Amino acid sequence: MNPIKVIYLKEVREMLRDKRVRQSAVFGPMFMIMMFMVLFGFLFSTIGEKSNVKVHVVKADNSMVQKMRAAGMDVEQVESLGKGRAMVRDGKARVVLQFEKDYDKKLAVHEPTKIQALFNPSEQVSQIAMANVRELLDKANEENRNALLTAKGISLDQAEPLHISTEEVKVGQNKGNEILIGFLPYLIVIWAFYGGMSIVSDLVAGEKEKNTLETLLIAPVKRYQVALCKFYALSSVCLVSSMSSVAGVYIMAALHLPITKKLFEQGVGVTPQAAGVILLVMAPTVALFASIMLAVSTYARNAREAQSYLTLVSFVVLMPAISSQFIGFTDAGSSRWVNFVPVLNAANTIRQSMFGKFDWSGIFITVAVSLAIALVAMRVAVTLFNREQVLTRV
Amino acid sequence: MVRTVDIAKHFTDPKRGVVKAVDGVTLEAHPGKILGLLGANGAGKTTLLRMLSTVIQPTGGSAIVNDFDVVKDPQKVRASIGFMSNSTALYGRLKAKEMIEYFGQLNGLSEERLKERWEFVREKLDLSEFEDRLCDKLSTGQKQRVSIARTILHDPPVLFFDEPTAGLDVLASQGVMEFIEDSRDAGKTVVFSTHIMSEVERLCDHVVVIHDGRIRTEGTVETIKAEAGATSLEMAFLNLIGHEAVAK
Repeated sequence: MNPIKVIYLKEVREMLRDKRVRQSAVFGPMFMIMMFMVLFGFLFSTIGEKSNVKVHVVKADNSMVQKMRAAGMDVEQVESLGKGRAMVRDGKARVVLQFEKDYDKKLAVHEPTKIQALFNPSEQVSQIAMANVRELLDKANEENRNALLTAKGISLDQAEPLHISTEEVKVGQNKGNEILIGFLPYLIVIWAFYGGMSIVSDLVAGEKEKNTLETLLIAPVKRYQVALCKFYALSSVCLVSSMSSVAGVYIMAALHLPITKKLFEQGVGVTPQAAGVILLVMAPTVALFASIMLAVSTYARNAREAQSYLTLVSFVVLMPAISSQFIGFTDAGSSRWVNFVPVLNAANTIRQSMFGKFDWSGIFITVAVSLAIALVAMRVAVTLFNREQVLTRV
Repeated sequence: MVRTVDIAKHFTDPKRGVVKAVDGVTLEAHPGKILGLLGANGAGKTTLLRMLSTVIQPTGGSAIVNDFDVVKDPQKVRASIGFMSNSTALYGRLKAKEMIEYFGQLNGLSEERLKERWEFVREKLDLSEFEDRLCDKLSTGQKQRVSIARTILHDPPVLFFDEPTAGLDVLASQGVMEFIEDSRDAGKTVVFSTHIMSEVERLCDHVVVIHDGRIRTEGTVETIKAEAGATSLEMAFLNLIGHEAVAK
């Protein structure tokens, strides 16, 4: 049997028997993304729904209170404005409203009536509740204004002569699942690195420490072949880890859980073509990560030293990956230079493909740049593998 | 057969300057004989064995193992040797049988030959009772047996032993020494490095005393004792290098 195949199969077998690899690289990303989605789903279903908006009113049951109830808000009574203020301060109330006593009477004769609202601007749930109340009040004001204008014989077109006509310009093939697209590219890229990081320190540095590397070097196998096998094995783990996060999304979509219903209103967002681009872009990115990590593990004296170096390297990978989350909201997201920045280019290309936008020259540059850097890093790893002072030091 | 001529390994250390780990060693080991490398810790024995097994390259001189040059034909040298040290160096997450088969495949054994050799080592080293157990779960003695099986599975003509009994109890050491004797009886060329005098007296046909990377003396145990004017090998060794080493 080809020695590359022999060593590769042995590495994979060992990795699959390693609990850390199973947890961190195979099931971890899947589980993590599923948890993320449950969390996001929970936030969207609770914060976004009016039925979850709680409003306190100071001893009142007028037409506005009834409208709030009709809109699905949870309205509770409070004895005084002072008590309401204390409740907001203690986080027991989100919004407290005090209406004038003759609110409905004044409204009937189109007289101004004041509503006092207390809320906590530093708390998001309080801000959301306030926004919901404001929306209802604006609607009531609009109805009142329209009734007055009609009574005075003025049409709405006369009162509001400016009209805006909007048209959505279609850039990609699909609108995409914006919530998923917000974080999935980042997770796909990040897990490719962290999945490999769970095992790479054992792969060479750990073998030096346990003296198993020396027994391998005494076997009639060329050193570059050993380096290649380690690279292939590590790349496999990185790719599995990365794809595990995508699998997590599909599993959640298939489960049809009520809590994540809102997340999948526009489908999963990964079309077969987008999946193809993800694989195309991730293959060289995975090669890039695997070769860098392998070079670090080869250089390190032992597993602990490798882990320290890798922690530093992970920041270099993390920075462009994190930027990918924000760059989509700026003009830079469509700039050509982004395709030349490793890691960032992969995440950005994945993001665009999930929106159905396939910029083939950008995809080509992304693949070429990642591949070129991967080849350089792999060359460094093989060179280190051939240097006895690096390989035999512990 | 193993032959070195003026083999050397010098390297530069930022703190110590030029270090001569091995400095012009010439020796020969023959089939059916055990050559003992006797020296204190740091004498250069392991460096010499590492050069002979092609893990590191010499900076001077030459070495031939089973008719192959260690620099020009490292692959062929590796295919001709078995190497065993005190560290069993087993992969903890492989089963004993998988571990042995792995090295058989790396040494290019065909499926049929591998099966045949596996049956041989399993019976010889009594591996059947734990062949399907992960190496991490084996006792020290069992690990040692797996390590021996790995060393001889491909039936190499040359065997290197680098302090193979260090850290082993009496029973396990006895097993290793019997295995070395068996290898000699099977016509293998054996190079055995140690600092334990009793093992040298029991096993070695020819002894090379190394100190500071150079050969101090060589011969049979008896000739070395006679040369040093000592009644025991230990005293002979101390007379040859001991006082100097203690002073250091």
